[in-house]
Amino acid sequence: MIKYVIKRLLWMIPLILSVTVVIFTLMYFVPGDPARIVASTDADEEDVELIREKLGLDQPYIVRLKDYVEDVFFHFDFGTSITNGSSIQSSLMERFPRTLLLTVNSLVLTILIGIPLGIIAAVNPNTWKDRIAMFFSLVAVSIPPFWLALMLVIVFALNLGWLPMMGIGSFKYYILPTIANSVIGIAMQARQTRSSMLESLNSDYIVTCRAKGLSRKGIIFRHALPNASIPIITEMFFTLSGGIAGSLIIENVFSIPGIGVYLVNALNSRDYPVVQGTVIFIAIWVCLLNLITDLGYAFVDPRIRAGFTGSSKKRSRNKKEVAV
Amino acid sequence: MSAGTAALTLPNAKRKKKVGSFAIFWRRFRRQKMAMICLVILLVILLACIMAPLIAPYGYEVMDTSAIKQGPSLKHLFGTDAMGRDIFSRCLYGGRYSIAIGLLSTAIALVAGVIIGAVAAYFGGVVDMVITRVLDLFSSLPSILLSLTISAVLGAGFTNLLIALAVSSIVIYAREIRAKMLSIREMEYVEAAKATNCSVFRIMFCHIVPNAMTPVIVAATMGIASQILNAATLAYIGLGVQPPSPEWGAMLADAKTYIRQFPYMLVGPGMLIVICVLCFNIIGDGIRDAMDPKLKN
Repeated sequence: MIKYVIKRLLWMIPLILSVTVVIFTLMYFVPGDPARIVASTDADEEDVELIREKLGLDQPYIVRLKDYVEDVFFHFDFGTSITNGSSIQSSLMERFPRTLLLTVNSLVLTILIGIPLGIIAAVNPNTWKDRIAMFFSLVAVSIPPFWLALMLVIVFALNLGWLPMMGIGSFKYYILPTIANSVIGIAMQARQTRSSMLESLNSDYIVTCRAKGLSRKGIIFRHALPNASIPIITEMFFTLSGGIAGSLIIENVFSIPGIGVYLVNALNSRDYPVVQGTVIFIAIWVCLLNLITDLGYAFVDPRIRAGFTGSSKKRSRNKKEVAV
Repeated sequence: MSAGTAALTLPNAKRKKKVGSFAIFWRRFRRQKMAMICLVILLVILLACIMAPLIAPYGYEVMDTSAIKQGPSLKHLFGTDAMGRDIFSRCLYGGRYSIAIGLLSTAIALVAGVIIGAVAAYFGGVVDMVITRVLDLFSSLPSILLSLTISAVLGAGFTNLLIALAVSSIVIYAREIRAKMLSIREMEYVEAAKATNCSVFRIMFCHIVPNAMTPVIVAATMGIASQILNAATLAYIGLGVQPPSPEWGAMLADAKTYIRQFPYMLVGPGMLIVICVLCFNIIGDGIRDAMDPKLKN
């Protein structure tokens, strides 16, 4: 198990490194001269040249790449914004908790609603309960989250006046964004829970449990659910990494000053160091979440755990299966 | 003897002859009421958008200064926007953009993904490893973030938007086809094809890929739906189709400014997005059930 954890941790390094390189290279080819953006519009050629030198933009690609990677990985320094000169990593650190709060709230809502919905649908297959739950989830994945957010604002903030329209503050401010951000997650979670629960409810051991005279509740929660949990857990982490991406957009609707607003503002003002830093920052997060998901499997499923702690022969076989 | 059996089997044989794989698929698909309804709705919307110049009551750029910011009425079904343009007409023209973006970007991603996945699965070894690692790299970013970054680099514009959306969804198709091809690659008929000295290209794309397409086609139908959503999201942020063009997401971005006084402006384009995406999703479900009943649930 420890070996597996270490292996997965080590694999993160080249992954994040290559994400950094790819994003840096993409940004390198952005048309437009950053030095000219920094300089005021009436600056002459000499001033632009000076700024270029100061920012290190006159260096060749490979040198700049090396500097950037070094800064990011050894000093956790994403550079400075070219529009206002503030440090990017301190802005990220200041803003990220708000994004994370929104994401975690959405995750909680997703788990609280999505999983029970899926279980209800699975234990009553092809009844009206199932149909309604599945139709809801189909509609939910078809609504653009930002539009849903706008509709919620119109109904609950503008017409009814129950909740604030935008900004941050008490928990009231987070209700609408959380709902808008978690609807897709709830739908996906319900679908996934339903299908994996159906699969485990149709297994032979459930028949055995019934024959043994176990209660319906006992069968569902003690036998079927644990065996259906792997896809459910995977979906949960998808929700978390998808939730970060989703909150980037939702933040913009509700003007929550998280990294989503930061990113979009930077895109609009062509502040590419910020774009670069934010994207890499999110990528690191998503990689971490993927790692935790994989470790989560091993934690939940003794079969996977055994695959990595057992004999080497078994391990290699398991690896093949994972690869496929 | 031959006369007798011929007479016996004739009606049957006649019917069987007609039944191709598409006919079998269509027969199964037709049975699903929801999917059929959605297909009809989608075709109606599609036709309305294609024939927008004939159907739309107003042009998409015609500004009527006497009818600025009017709520929905018989004259203006979805109301008019801040410049007095009829939102319903703009929606019809905008559908051309939105649906075209969905279809084209999915098509590009599908072709690229199938080629990449097929190469990885067929050659295996180092090639497979490198491709899988690169795909891992791409999937370490949420797709909306990836298309956001790419379209920021390429700049706004229709083609750039297509590229940005397509690149971010290649991974899905490449993974699907690779997984399916890995099992098909080992089948006897592939060996037979090799034995008859078929070229690698022919084996890959004429023998294996057609048999591995089922999950990819299902994924693609759902893919169109999510591309329409992503395109709208990008336009909303200001990276997709630029505002004077009537794309649904861009119209919503425009209308957001007036959310306090004129919320009706947001309803029409948004509802159309939801209906289209919902239809594509339900049709996708239908196609999956019709192509491979085993995949149900």
